[in-house]
Amino acid sequence: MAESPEQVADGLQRWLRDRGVEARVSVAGRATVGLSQDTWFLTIERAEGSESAVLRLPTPASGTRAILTQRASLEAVAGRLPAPALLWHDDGEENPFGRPFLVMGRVDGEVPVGWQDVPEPRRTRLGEHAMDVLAALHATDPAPLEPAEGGGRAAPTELDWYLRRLERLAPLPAVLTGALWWLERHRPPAPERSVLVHGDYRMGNLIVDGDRIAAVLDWEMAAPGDAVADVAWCFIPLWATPGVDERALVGRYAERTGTEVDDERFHWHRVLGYVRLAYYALAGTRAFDSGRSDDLRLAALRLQLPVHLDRLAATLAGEEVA
Amino acid sequence: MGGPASTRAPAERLAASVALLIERVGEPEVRAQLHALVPLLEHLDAPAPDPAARGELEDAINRAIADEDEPAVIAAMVKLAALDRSAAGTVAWSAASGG
Repeated sequence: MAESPEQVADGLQRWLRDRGVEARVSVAGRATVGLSQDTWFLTIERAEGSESAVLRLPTPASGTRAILTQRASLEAVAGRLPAPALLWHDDGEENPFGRPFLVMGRVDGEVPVGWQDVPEPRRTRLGEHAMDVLAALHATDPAPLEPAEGGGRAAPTELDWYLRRLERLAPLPAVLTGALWWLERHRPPAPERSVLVHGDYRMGNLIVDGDRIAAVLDWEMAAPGDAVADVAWCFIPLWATPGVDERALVGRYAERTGTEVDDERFHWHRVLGYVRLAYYALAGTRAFDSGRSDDLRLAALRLQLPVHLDRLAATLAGEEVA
Repeated sequence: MGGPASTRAPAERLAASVALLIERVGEPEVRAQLHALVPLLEHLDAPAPDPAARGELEDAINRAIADEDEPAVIAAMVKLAALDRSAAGTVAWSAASGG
């Protein structure tokens, strides 16, 4: 399933030609960031000029749904908030790649890994804009992201999604078992309003240009859900949030959306956030150990798991987590 | 330098050698993989947490869940998580992501 740069360029060029788009496609590079989808940087030359673009292909780890969800999300938020422009897509398998793909415009800017990478006063301005963008996202109609088969399917920001998947990874670390028990015991009522949740809204998924968010990336976990899931996730200390005035920024989000962010709901979602991180570490480790992936970064996730579980337990105990 | 030569290379030396190798590799994807390999090698010889202490804490969590004693569940979780973390290695994720 892994293509060479020549196969990627040739495949897309042929696909475009079949649709009446005469273009010369060349590969400018391949992203090493990210553990699931294949991301290729392209240059697309047409009579009217040249543009930089990004091709995303699913992998066995991501599944095709990841691409379909991104495509639907990029269409839903187009013109409403900063996000890459969707240039072309194919939801089917009758194409040179044999699986769904999308091509989006490449957005200039930098992607700071954590908030601490950004000095003040840019950090505060970026944080404020990130909250404004999040508020705009949560005002977007989530209907296009409703599952085709109807309601009842949990989203990747919901406890049930992880309960089902973690069950398959049993036996679980006892700390995780304790956290799941606590989460079920304190599960908040369904939110009054379901919104379009990004699912992985954090600094590492934002392209930054000056003190503005130029684009929100990585929409594969988007789904209708609880807005507070996004708010809590972007302040998980793993994303290096020291120096960020969390209370002020959550206040700004509340002001922009005209809603209250309930402290208990926020805490519950933060605990769930660490369970999510522990799940990703466990699932990645198992994928490597079973031979489904040869990615050494997945093997290294086993060293990250105790860190997530330690922060999870400390968060539950009400400690400040760094 | 006496004694028979071991057929097992020291994990610490393997990790240091791979770290040096990274400097000679130009391909970012390969560099990212090697950055992930270094802490795995470093960790090969690391002592595991005391199994008896771990077992006691796991039992304490399970017992407290059965008793629905939330403070006891959390207290045992904190101790077990700290014990496991004390034996864990560190991954330079920025390097393992970007190469």
